[in-house]
Amino acid sequence: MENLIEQLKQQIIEELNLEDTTPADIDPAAPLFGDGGIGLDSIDALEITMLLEKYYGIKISDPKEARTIYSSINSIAEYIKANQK
Amino acid sequence: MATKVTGIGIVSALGLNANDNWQALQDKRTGVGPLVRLQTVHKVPAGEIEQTNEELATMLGLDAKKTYSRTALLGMMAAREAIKDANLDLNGKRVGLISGTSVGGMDLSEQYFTDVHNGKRAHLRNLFEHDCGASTMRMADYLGIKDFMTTISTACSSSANAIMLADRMLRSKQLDAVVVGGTDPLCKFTINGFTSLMILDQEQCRPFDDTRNGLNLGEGAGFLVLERDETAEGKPAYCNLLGYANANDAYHQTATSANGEGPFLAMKGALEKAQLQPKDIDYINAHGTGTGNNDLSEATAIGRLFGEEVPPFSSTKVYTGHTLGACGGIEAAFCALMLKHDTIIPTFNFCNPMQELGMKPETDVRKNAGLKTVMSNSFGFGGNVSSLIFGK
Amino acid sequence: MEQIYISKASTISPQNTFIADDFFNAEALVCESDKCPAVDPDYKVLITDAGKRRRMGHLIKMGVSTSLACLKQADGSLFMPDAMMSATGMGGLEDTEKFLRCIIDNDEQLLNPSNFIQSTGNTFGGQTGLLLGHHGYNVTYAHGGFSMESALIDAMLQLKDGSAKTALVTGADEITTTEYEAMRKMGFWRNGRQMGEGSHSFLLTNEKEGAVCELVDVKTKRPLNESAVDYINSFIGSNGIKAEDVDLVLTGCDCDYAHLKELEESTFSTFNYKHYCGQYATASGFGLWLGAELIGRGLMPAANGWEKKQARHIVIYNEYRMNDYSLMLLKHAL
Repeated sequence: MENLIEQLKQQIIEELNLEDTTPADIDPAAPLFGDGGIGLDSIDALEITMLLEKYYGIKISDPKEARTIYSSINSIAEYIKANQK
Repeated sequence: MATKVTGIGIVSALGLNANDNWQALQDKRTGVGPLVRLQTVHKVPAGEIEQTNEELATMLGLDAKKTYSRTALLGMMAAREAIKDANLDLNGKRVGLISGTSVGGMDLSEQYFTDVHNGKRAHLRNLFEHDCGASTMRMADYLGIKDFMTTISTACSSSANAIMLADRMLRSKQLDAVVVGGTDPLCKFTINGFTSLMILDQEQCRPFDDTRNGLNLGEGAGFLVLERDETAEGKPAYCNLLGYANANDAYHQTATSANGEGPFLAMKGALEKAQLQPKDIDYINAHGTGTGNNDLSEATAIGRLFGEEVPPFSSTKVYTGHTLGACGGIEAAFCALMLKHDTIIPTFNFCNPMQELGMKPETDVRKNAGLKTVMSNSFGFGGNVSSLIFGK
Repeated sequence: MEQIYISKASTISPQNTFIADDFFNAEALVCESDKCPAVDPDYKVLITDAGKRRRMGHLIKMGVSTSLACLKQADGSLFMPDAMMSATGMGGLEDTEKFLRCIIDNDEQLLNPSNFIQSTGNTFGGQTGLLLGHHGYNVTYAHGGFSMESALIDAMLQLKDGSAKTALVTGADEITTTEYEAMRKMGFWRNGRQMGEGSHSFLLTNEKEGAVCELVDVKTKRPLNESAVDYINSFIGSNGIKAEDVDLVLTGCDCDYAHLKELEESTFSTFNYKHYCGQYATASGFGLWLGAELIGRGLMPAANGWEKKQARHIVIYNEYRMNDYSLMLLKHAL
């Protein structure tokens, strides 16, 4: 799980082009969207959807479901673990 | 002075001329269905024109072996019809062509990159039609327009914005007549683009319905001939262009703000330009794409501006699909027809009002509707929103 | 009729132009290659919103930066223009290509929405509006070698009819490998022709006070069915100006060398700017910037650099791919 979380942070930083952000800056429990986190927006959510399909073969087609899964790095990691084939 | 709409031309999934389009609208017959011509892995309904580029070229009397983008071909067909409809003499007057398009010759660019990918010989001529201006140039050459030409690319409000420039060119007397509108083809680029944004409905779109789940794409072209009243020599006209405004929502790259600030400012600005009050508007042809965000934002803005007395409104995208850069031109032509025939064309697929607002669009064809003044909205990416007002 | 003035101008180009003094106080850069990339300023300093900057491609960074530079006031705040007109021949070509390749190479899967969003023509105009919180008129022209001119014509119409009192006009295009290669295969990059890129912003107003110069007229023509000299003469004539009142014609000759030769052999004093900026759809914006700065600074081209001499009128003649021919007329605002 730890490895998965670190890997996810790295992938999100790269795919979303978060310059000046290091994996250490991202608290895996903090909200990804809105205030109090790293402040991602709806386009980022779409990019995370693409990232999950690309690296983990997971397809999320309902934007509302995505919103819940993407609440934090931890929740994404849990979803990957539960759904990866 | 007044700016008159003296001719119209429409090409859409409903038909290749204004008459066929009008007949389908009155019959509440949609052109949106499964994709047949365009090859894509995405199983989405769309407003597709069945003719191939070669067939369109032949219908236009062009050499079908030569390279024309679908954008240019659709535009030529609609603009040619508008010029004929207006009985416009290109020799006696200073005539301009102003076109709006979002993707230019993208269908040919796709061909080029596919050929490269498959290791086939890729034709450079397919790449040189890529830019938006190329389609307008081909149209100008075909139509014989030399005095002025330009292209606007502001995504889905492109052709509405083109109409604004046309009016300014006429009023400043730089031109005597303008052929103005927009054209966009269905292509893999836009189908995949809207898929990546997750806003394409897998079923028929349902504008202003609570269960709406995205838009359907379409293709086509809509052109008007605009002339100054004193140079239109007592010609019959569909209506006058009374007012318009463009505003910037400045909220998000692709979404519209929750309070509909941009749409509110555009509609308000158009009323001011036309020196009209909200109560003077008899019908609104809404942008009404069927996405969760657009319809709520647009309806909120309409509510803010019109208060308790919201005029009848509908979205005609249920018939044509969302034709992107062309929709402002096509829907302006629809408005001209509605004014001429005094008939409101409704939307359909509407069952339940949006929970947040409870506003209901028109769902039945209404004849003898007493239409004097109508408004047409077109909103684009980048928060680019436009509103036009036409009247008798 | 109200006069229209350029109150501020900003340019990113293959020359060191973002700080204009640097360009006029040093020798021009010489690009040896047939591909001349822009001299980029530090975009991190100029576009401080990292969240917005991270999704911006090169075209958008250039367009937004010159726009903001034109709007920056002495106290550091940003001036809010009534209207914004943008221009680009090719739009976000780099992102368009990325998205197209993604569609074709991945069989329409794994699509990155950012590339799609950035590909539309109106991205840098929209992004500038978004950064400013600007709710006014915001339109983008994309018509080859008439893009910049169309944006200027729209701005002038609105300043004249009173729809706007101030307008920001920006034109930008970027180099992409595909376009460069395609033109190379056509044999276009010969005889010293070079591909360039850049962004050019102008703040237009009705206020003479503090203006760089007056923008008198802009004209487009396609095809050009007369000589370049006749084209210029009828253009200045329609503005009530005689040939001897034009102190300089900036010739942006693209590839039709017959016109360059004709202009150089005419009675006009000429100076070709395309070897400074290279060739791209909105390169006339570089010509306009150069003309405006020359008048504003009271300079004229000299044998080696610039000499102090006040031009009264400057005409900018631009060609784009033997297809689009445009003219712009500047007048001093003294």
